[in-house]
Amino acid sequence: MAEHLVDPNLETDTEGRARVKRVAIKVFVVQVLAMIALWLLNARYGTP
Amino acid sequence: MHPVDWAIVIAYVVYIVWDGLRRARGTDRMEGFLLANRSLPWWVVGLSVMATQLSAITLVGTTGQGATDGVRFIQFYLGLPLAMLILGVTIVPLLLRARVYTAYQYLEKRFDARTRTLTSVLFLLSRAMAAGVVISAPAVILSALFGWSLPLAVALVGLPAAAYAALGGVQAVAWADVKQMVIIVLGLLGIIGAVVAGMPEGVGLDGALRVAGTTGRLNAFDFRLDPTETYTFWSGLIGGTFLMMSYFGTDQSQVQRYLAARSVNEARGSLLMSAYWKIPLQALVLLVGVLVFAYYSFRPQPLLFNPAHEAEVLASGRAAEYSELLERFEVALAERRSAAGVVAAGGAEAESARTTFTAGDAVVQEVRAEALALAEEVTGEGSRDVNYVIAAFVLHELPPLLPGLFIAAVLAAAMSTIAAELNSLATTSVIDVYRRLVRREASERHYLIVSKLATAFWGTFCCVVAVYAVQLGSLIEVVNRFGSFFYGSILGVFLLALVRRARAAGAFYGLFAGMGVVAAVSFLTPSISFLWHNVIGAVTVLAVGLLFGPAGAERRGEMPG
Repeated sequence: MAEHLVDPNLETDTEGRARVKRVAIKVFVVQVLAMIALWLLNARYGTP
Repeated sequence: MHPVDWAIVIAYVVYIVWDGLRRARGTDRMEGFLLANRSLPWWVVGLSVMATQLSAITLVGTTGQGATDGVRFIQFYLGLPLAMLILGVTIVPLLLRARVYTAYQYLEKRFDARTRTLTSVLFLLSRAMAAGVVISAPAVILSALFGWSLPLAVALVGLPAAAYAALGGVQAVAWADVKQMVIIVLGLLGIIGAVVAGMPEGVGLDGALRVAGTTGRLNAFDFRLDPTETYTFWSGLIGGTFLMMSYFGTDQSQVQRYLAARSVNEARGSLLMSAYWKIPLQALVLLVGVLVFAYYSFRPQPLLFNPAHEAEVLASGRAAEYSELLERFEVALAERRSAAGVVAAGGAEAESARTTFTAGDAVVQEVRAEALALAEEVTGEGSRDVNYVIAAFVLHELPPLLPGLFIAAVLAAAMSTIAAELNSLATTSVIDVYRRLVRREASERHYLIVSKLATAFWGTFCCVVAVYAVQLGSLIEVVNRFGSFFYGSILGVFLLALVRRARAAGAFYGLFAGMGVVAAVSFLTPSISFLWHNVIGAVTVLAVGLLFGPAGAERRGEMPG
């Protein structure tokens, strides 16, 4: 079986992997901040 | 609508079709027509991905849901960012490096021809019906609002998209999607601005949010571990991740967007755009609905937002019943309105006003529920009144320009989804069925012409489904339910492809096992939310697929190239 059909990391160099990790962390942080913002919105304006 | 609004709508539709046709240049080969010569930058693909997912149903239905149910629907999307990250390091590089036209074509390269044929046929069946519904939903609303015949509304929604998709291919669709996204976001921001400006003096955004928050409409999260609830934090995060991975990773209507990207990294970037922006965009859509609710807390509100249903009830023998409901409704609205100003102002007095407001709101919702039941009995069809909330608000409450912008945004949302779905239906039928099973050897020009004809055929087919969608209601429901049986299972096959020891027999029989288990769960425990079906399907395929080890069946069939 051809490797490129089963291994998604075949051509990903070290720099590419590091970039993916950095982006993953950024996405995670942004989503957590978005959830905190929604929670704060309800805490401020919602029913006590 | 004001003539200026009609001018905006007509000008927009004409511009989108003209621009789509202009971009037909360079699509004289199959790869150009079906994949834009794999040349699109990440931001064009990213906007196209988002525009494809955001249909007219989202724009009118989700805003209505925000008005009636609040922002908790946002939980449905919690798994999306995670899904995009996982796809970016798994399925996306595999598909891009395999140089395929369709996701199912990859399955033959990795497994065998029967898995490819089965998955592509399942896709064609479910997506064609779904595309009909995507056209039908806004067409039904437009025909009810403006009194048009349904075929005319279907033609207005479906034919422009079919025209530029058939003549310009993916290139035209992707660039049109960029403009469609701009008009959608402009429409949403315009409405938010107008709603806040239209609030009584001294209320503003702060007061409007306080009014909406009093009824719990700003409560976004439900942390209960209840598999029967669709919108909880856990079903959104876990079930949503699998659903979004299925949709963005294995559904050709989305896969085709990023197969047109310049490189693996550009394709990843396009999906990450959704990872960053989908939740904020969805929050914006829901916020529009929440603010519309706050707006109606200070002003007269229709008992039924669907004007066609209201007219039908009033013309029926049960008009007196409706008039009685209207009287009770007006009293409850007045009670709610009297407390709204105090709630919006905040401070110590707001505490007791909150109780009056929520009591008034409870009666408003109760009377509305009775009116909806009455309308359903009289008309014999589901009310779907929630889909008319935002449209009725925009058309009756906002000044000229904004209704035109909104209707253009609804058409933009519909066209962007329809065009992408027609692209993908045509590509799958030509690449996975016609070229694979009917005519394996023919010229580029032949396949290009067949691709264009296939797009036109699917455009016509989906418009016909849309016209008869109301009568076909139960059939479409069956097809959609059937679709939910295999969506997660197809994802399971793609995940299995990442496992080196997985073989063709495991994928094929695992797919059947996955669909069977989901069907059994669906029939035996119907209360379990559909979001969990995707998890069950994918995990079953993986488990069963791995039982067939390397000694299993060999690959069958060869790619035609």
